[in-house]
Amino acid sequence: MPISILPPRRAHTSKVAEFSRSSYDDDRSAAEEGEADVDMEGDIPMSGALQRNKRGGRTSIVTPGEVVTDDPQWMRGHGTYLAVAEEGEEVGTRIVATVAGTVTKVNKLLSVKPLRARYTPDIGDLVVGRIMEVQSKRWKVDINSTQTAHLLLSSINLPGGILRKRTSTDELQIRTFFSEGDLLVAEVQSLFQDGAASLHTRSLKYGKLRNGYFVKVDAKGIQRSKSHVLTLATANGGGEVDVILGVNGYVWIAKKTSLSDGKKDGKEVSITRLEEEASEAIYSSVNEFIAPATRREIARVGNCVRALVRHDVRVDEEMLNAVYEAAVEESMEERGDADESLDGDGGRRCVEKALGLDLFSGEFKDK
Amino acid sequence: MSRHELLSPEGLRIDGRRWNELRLFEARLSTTTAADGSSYVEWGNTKIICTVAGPVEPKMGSNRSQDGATVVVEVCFAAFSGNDRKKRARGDKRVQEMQTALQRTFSEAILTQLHPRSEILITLHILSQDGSVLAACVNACTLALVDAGVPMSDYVVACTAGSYFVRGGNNPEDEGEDPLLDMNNLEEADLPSVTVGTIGGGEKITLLQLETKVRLEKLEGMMAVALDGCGKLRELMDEIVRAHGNEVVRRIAL
Amino acid sequence: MAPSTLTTLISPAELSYLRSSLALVPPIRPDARTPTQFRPLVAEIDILPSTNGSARMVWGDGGECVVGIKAEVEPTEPTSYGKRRNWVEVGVEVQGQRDDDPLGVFLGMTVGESLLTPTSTLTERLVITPKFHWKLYIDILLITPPLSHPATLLSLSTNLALRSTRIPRLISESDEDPIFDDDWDASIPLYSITSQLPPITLLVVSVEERNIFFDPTREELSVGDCVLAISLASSPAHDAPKVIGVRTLESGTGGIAADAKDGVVAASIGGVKRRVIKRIIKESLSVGKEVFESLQGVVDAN
Repeated sequence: MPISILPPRRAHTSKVAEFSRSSYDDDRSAAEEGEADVDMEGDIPMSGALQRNKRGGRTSIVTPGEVVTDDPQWMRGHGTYLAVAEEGEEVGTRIVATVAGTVTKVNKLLSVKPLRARYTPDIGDLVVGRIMEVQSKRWKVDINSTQTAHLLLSSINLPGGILRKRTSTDELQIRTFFSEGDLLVAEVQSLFQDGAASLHTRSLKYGKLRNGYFVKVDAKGIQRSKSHVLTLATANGGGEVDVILGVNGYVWIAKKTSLSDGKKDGKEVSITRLEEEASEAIYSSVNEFIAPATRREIARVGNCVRALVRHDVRVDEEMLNAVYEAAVEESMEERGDADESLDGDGGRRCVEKALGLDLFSGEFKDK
Repeated sequence: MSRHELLSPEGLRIDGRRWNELRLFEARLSTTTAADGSSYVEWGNTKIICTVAGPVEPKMGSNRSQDGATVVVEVCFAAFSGNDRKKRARGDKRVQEMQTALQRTFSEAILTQLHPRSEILITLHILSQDGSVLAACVNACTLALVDAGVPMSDYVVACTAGSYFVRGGNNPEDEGEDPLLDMNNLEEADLPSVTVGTIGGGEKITLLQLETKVRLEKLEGMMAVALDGCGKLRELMDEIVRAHGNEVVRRIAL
Repeated sequence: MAPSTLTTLISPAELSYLRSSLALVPPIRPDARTPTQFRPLVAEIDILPSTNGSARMVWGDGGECVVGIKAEVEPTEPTSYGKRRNWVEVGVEVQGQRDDDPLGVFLGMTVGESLLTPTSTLTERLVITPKFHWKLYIDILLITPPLSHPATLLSLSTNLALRSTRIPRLISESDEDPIFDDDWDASIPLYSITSQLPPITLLVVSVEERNIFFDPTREELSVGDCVLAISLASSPAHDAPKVIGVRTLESGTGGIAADAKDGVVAASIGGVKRRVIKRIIKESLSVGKEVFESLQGVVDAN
């Protein structure tokens, strides 16, 4: 069937609210009786507000306006604010949540991580961005965040033999480097005062992207980890495929080429020789020849990434390899309803195979 | 609609409620996956979809403020939302008034200073009107903003209350005014009603709108009833958010 | 002429990759779908009890559309056979855009005109008495800003909403002013089992001569040679549907990099060959049949 129309999925309706309305009082009385709460880890116990809501799960959430703690020794981090002192208090010590999310405690810092939020840049993040606007000495880059990032002309590699000063000719020719719509991979160098990121591409492994396909996923699926540039050895004669997982949720999947790993002749390029080694080619928009087999595998990898994020699984090297293998197996089985796009049940099966458990019930499957 | 039928002598309203009963309030979060945050609210027969985009880079330079995020609200009444089909023009005064009221309310509740030079775009689609539309919009916005992870000092909750005037007739002792909680369409058409919006469902009022005339001494009674309704609604909304949140956390933990 | 497809920022390298993938024989779509495969859709009908008919649909790219239909009694002008087109009014509201936005107007006309083709029997079913008729208001709300061209989304949602529309039953005699049965269970569906079904519009993209794609993504729309919106009507016998309208949309091949020297595919010049259009229409008939069957499944399930 080329077209499938499904009924809407009703994940949690007011039925849950009704249920919790009746059990709300039960839980409150249970907590007041002093029943031990799970997962205290020997920390200073939270105030009554949090205790009341630990209902069955190991972690539970706080909602805006909820007092997380009133213990003065905690410092407040993201997602919270310090409530104004009430009568009888000298200084306000109550930390109140501003978003709905989970509480995280690092040393003495208490913050609330929201369930869902736009990507916020941090120094050192590897991001994939798209040029939105070209200004006189810099570019504005869309990184799927609350603000557009900036890429200064002085932060990119300029082709040329010597470490040269950016001249006015460079400014006039700014579009020969990056133009509107171009995709690039960069690192967050610093943050402006208002939180906007400033990017740089001063390494051969950063720069303009080509020979591949762009996928946008929810930034939640890609957590900060050691390496964001993965190489997959693909099946069916596809060769090697690079996957660049931007922390901001933008992913680039491309055929592996000699330029893309930032090495020349197999050796790392030192920073002093950077300008000499960087040639005109790094700003070219022309793709190499890519065989159909590779294109097919690139599409498959893209679907794997999407399927992982759709089922709330973190995308990393191990998981991606596992789902990719499962996807290749599925396509080899030649089922009647083969769906290479992994959008529906096919994707869920692959992710389940990779995880080794049933996604709906959370139980482990027997292999 | 004759006045008498709005509140029967036994104290039952047209839809069978008593004076202090809320209609069934149901809501869902994350109903529109393409948006940063979204919610769907059904309050009696009033149905509203709310989507939030942001904080994002503002499209118009005028919305870029150094001090904090700019909140922009757009309200769309669907032409099929009322009893008669009626297509509203964009510049409709009533719609603009609602937009401004919502924008001011949420600019106060949202911690805008955390996102300077950006804008938060809230869009409301009213699919079906059955009274308390502004209050329902406020509640839908709150849920959608919580879904989007926009930092707020607390829930913004709104509720309506009206005043039913009983004429004494032969017996002057029967005369009086009963406040009614949570007005539906028929009640709003005939009776004065007030919409009260609070931050936190408590006593911090951030929105107050009265339609038609009412005697000053009656206003306090109506407000008290509406504030009580706000408190109940905050609990309901909080449970909905927690249920949704716990489900999300459970899925990620797998 | 249809308004241009929505502006998208996309790099020349991506366009070139897409174009060369879609031009292969057999073609490779970026998400590995077959050329006639649609992304999964979610649909529900009869969600707004205050309307005569309603439907909500969520498209593969996340776009969401709600359609509500209301019917109101209007007096019939005596010399009005030609004016029956006014008995159906379609309004489209796209989030964040003005009322006279060309995209909204185009979508409204696509839906409206395909409902009122000469072979459609819809207006006959709207007659109540010689002096009165039903005026049908179809209001389409696009909840999300358009992520790719929403023509198919809107037309499928409207189709479902029309299928769920019910009209109150007449209980007065034909000479009197019309009076209707208050019992909603006695109401009559607007589209009964025997009437011709409401039409659908499919977006089709072609690349080179032989490759034809359905349910195109925004990027596929930008690299296609020819983009057509094909309106199809089906009869209850469910044999092959018939084409009732073909509209061209501006394709995006102007966006390819001018760097033709190193193998970047250059845009084709001068329109699309007739035999390509014939092939597109032929494919649309078979895909359209499956779409109608799938929509029938949604109606049957409710």
